Amino acid sequence: MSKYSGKVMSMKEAVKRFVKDGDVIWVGGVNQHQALAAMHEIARQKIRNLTLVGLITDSTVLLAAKCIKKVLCSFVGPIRYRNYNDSLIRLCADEGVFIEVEEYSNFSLAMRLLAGALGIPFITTKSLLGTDCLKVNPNVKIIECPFTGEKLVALPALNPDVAIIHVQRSDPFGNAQKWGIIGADDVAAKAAKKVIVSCEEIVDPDVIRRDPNRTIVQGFRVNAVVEEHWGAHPWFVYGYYDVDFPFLGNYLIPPEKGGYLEVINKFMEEWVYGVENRREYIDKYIKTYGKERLEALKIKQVVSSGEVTYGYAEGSVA
Amino acid sequence: MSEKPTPFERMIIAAAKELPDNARVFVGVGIPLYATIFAMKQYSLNIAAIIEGGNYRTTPPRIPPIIMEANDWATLAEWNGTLVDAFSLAQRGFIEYGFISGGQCDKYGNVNSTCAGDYKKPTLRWPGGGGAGDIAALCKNTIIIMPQNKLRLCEKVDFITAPGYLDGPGARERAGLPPDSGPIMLITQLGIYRFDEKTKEMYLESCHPGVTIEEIKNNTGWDVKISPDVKQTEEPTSDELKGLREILKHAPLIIT
Repeated sequence: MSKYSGKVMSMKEAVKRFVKDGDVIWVGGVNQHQALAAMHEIARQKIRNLTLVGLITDSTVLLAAKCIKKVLCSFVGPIRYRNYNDSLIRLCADEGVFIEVEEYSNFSLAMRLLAGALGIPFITTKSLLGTDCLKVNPNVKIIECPFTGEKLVALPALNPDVAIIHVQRSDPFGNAQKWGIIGADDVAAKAAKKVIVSCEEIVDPDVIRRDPNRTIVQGFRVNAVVEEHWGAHPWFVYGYYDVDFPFLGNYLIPPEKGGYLEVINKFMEEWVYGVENRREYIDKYIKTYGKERLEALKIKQVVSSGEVTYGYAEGSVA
Repeated sequence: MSEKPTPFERMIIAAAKELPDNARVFVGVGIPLYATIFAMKQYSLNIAAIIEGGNYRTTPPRIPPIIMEANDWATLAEWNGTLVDAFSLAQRGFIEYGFISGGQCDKYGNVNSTCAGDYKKPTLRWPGGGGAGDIAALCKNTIIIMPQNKLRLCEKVDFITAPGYLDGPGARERAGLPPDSGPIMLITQLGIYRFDEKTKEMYLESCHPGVTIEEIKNNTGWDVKISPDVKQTEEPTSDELKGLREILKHAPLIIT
């Protein structure tokens, strides 16, 4: 199938071709479906000066690899700051990499993407009114509704250079299907100039056509399709696998006594730079922890839906 | 296992008891989620629990998810969808209650989940508000749950992430927030606070069992007003305690 679309490629190739120094990138997921395979590859290729747009993105590896110059977010990664001195952003500053944070709430940042998706220059909301985001973020302004006179927050459209989303399945053309909690992957993909679809499985177009409501981005908007089994690990994918909490502890939790940077650097050497791609990462996982531990993350008690049906009526032809 | 509840357990059970029945509740990350699951299980409350990634469910999940959007929460839900749709419901005025936690809270119920100290040079940086600011701005009544001490429950927060009554009566409306909205209650490990209708200032309504007014004062950053008929919160029953511990064993990294 792949030869027909020309979009199916390795993550290495997708990142090389579509993610450039200085890009504004969306990396998908709000806890769920985090595009970790893509982030590891960006870190390996040492792409620089990226502006990361993310809601609750586990950006640890991108920060550690010094790929990021600015973050647009409402939640600075799921990095628990016990102490500012221990935060990854501060640790980067100590090494001469100053990361700018532009402060949002989840809704307001998603609204910027929605404006981008709608093809309009700005959008308004009632959220953020009364907050100190208004003081620290120059991209949040108060305006008056020309019809009712109400106070509103105006937010400029955001069109990332690239959106990377991780979904359950896609056809070789990039008709990508995601189910479960979508977060803002839908608006991000619609707003972005280029889209990389990372998926657990590449399926025949017929699979997609039998349930087209599930498609969250149209294939003709997609530049690359990458099949990555376990592409969100140690995070999770609905219906496929669950979060690997012990593994997250390898890099997400600053030790009580300090020395977080050493913990992160060790993780980067072993699990990011020390492997070529996601397949090697998973092989390493199996070698380190055993196949049983990986298997235990898979969804075993399956809950499946009633079938969605389509079809044809004989009598509809006059 | 001790039969006596810890202050933390008292806080969660007290909050769960205050959750309304037959209501739509926008549930924030961390403690609110666990308190909501507890209320759904223990009291069979008829709640539509909305979460920000784009989901609502009316039944407790099979097991409490470690991460709020996890498989257990999204499986057998009434709705899975998008973040924009979830907050649109709130902005449109359809969500009666918001339930959030935070790092700091002040006497007008403003919540800070961003940083302590100056924003540019913080002494402590929390991960950020996520959707808490949206919930507090857009839902009609906000319930706040957070452990207190003098620094966390302070006269004025260092950064307003989630708006309460800002600087007093009428300020929310002047800022453009929906009329008649705002925080209605704070539950901590020591007591339950409400907001004066006229002054919008927080006052102590109820002390948890064994907690003295002196302890409240020593753990609050301003001279907090005490209700003239201050009550004592009911002590959790052993049944409630058992139910809560069953849930909390799934929450190894609960964010306080």
